[in-house]
Amino acid sequence: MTEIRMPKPGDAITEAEVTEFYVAEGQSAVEGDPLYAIATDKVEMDIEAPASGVVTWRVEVGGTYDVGELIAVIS
Amino acid sequence: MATQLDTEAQSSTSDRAVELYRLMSKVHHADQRVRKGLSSGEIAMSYWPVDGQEAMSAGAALALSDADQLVTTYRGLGDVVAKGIDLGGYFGEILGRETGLSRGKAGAMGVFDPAHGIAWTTGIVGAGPLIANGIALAASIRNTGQVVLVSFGDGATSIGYVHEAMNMAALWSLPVVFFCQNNAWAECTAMSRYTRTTKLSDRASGYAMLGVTIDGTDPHEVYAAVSEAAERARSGGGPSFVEAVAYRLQGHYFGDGMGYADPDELAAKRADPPFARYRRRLVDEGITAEAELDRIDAEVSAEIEDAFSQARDAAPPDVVELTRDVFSGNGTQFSVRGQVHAAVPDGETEDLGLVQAIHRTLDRAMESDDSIILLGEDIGDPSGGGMFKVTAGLSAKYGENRVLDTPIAESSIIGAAIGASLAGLRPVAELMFMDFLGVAMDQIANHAAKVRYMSGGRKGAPLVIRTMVGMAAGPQHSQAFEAWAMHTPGIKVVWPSTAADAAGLLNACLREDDPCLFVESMKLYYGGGKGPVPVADYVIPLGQADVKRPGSDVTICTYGVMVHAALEAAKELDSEGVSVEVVDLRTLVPLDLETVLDSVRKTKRLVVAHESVGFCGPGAEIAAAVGTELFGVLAAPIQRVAGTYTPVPRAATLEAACRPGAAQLIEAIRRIV
Repeated sequence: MTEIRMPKPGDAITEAEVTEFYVAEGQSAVEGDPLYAIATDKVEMDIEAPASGVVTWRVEVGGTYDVGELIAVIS
Repeated sequence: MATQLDTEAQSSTSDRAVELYRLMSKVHHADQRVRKGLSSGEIAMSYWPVDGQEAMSAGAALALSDADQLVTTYRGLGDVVAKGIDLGGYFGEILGRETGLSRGKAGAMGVFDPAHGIAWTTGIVGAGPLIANGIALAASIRNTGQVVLVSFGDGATSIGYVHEAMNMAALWSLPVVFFCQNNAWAECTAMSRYTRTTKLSDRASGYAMLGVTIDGTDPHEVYAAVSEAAERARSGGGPSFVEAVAYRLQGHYFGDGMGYADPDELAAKRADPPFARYRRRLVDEGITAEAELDRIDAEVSAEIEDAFSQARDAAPPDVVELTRDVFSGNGTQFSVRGQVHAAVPDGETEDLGLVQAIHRTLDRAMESDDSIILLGEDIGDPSGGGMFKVTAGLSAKYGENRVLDTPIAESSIIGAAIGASLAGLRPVAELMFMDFLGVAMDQIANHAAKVRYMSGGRKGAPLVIRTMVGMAAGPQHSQAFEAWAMHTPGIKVVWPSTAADAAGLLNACLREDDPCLFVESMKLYYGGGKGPVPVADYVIPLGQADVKRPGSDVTICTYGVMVHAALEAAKELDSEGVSVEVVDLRTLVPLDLETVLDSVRKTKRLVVAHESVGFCGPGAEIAAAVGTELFGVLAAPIQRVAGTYTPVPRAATLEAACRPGAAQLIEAIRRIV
């Protein structure tokens, strides 16, 4: 099982909005493929899946989450 | 039989030959007069002779129009005299007299006579081309048709500034002529001892620029090469590099006996000086009669003698001049006492972080004032709109000639901003991290900060340098150097703690007539600094501290991010019955000492705090000032809370220990309450 936590895409960034899921709940992610997208005041970026496996989302699209918060689990 | 046209061409060629002679004669006799005065003991000063370089200055000056601009160096007598400087003001300036162009404050290293096209002079080798770029940028943005000729010695081609400047000028096709006066000596070092390059104009091809090497003892050759380069610049063909080769016949300075020169070579060169050679040529070729040349020499000598002797006999400046012209309005390092503090306007607000507040302020200012231009690395939309998105969308809205993406070359960014400000624009230059202040420090401290003083108050450099104090990025990307700037007379220093203050203070900087260093904290850029900002536009004048929280037992005097730590400490101590007043300085120069003194007079206790290094930091100055003023009032020793005397480390545990916060403030207050 791999935990996916909100990254810190800049030293001054403390939170980011989840703008899109590229893999639906319960579907399979492939390591290295885009998994979801985030946006901050500074950047918009795709986050790659760090592992292959079935995705369980722990957050919602449109929500803003602190750096380090659990976003999804791949198992 | 000559046609009418041939006769005209011939007559204009002969006129030019005589005009070149007149300019060479003027340079020659001015240089000779100064050296005569020095060797006879009539005057005493530092002087850098131009004997042997007359043809360079004369040929270049004649190739320029009156409106074209010259930037030169301390060895600039020939250049400025040939360009047509006011001789009385010039001699008065180099002699340090009150009749000098800048009332003797700058000397030969800071000659400035814009009415005669002398846009700036620098005493720092190689610094001129950086500033010339900015003057040319302004000319190009405003389509004035002006060309900027920047004159420098062969020795200057070794310094990075010149290379940065050449790259930027070529990149932006600026109307600049890089005029290298190769006089065979970098001060006292022969060319073969400082470079393996044999032809300095070869440097130009590295920047996709045309370069030529010509005989700098022949005024016609210099005139032709500079005319061609100036024409190319004027018609949008960009800069050129003209290397004129001659031989300096005197020492680097008056008193330097040239013991380093080959005596035979020096004797041979002195036996055939360019001025005498050109005079012979005019006579031998039948272009001018000897008597006519004698008449020119006599006329020129008389004009020089008159100006020189008047300057020699003029009074030195009164000592009251010392403290004038540091800032506009003869401002000092302290703000004016008794001023009414401006309040942030009431009414509708929007929640903005520092980035958005600064973006909004720049956007509105650019909309209403087309003299505002932005320069910096990555700031244009094609390069991402700024590393931190402060300028996102502005190049799309105002064009890439007002939002200029620069090479990664901080000296050339600040130099271009200074030049543009001299030419009447209001540049805002971005230094991505405050750590890079050192990279551009010569332009900031030796040039921007000194323009007003060195011009004797005739000109300021109204530019804003925006920079950011980073965090979590280790020893070279997290430092605060505000003390360097505060220690440099002539530059204002501003450091806002809130988005609302940032908007008002930046508006003030954009209206200042002097250079401002505007410091931003990365910690406040986004969520960290988010707060209400009035929708209406407003100005918070510089030099007005703000009491962010009133209290009665102890004063914390601080600025920037530390204001938030102070408010946190105040809140915590409030529950223990200790009432803390938080004074946010907002502007460090000019310093609002009055507000600090008023607060401490009331609370009788002071803690001065900042995140930069404590040792010799701004807190030391404030503590000393308050200690002196309120020695009998203070109930306890002044406390200082500041960064440790270490670089800012990368590891989060170490950085947290290095930077003070609320805990250290509380500890300091408990020591004295």
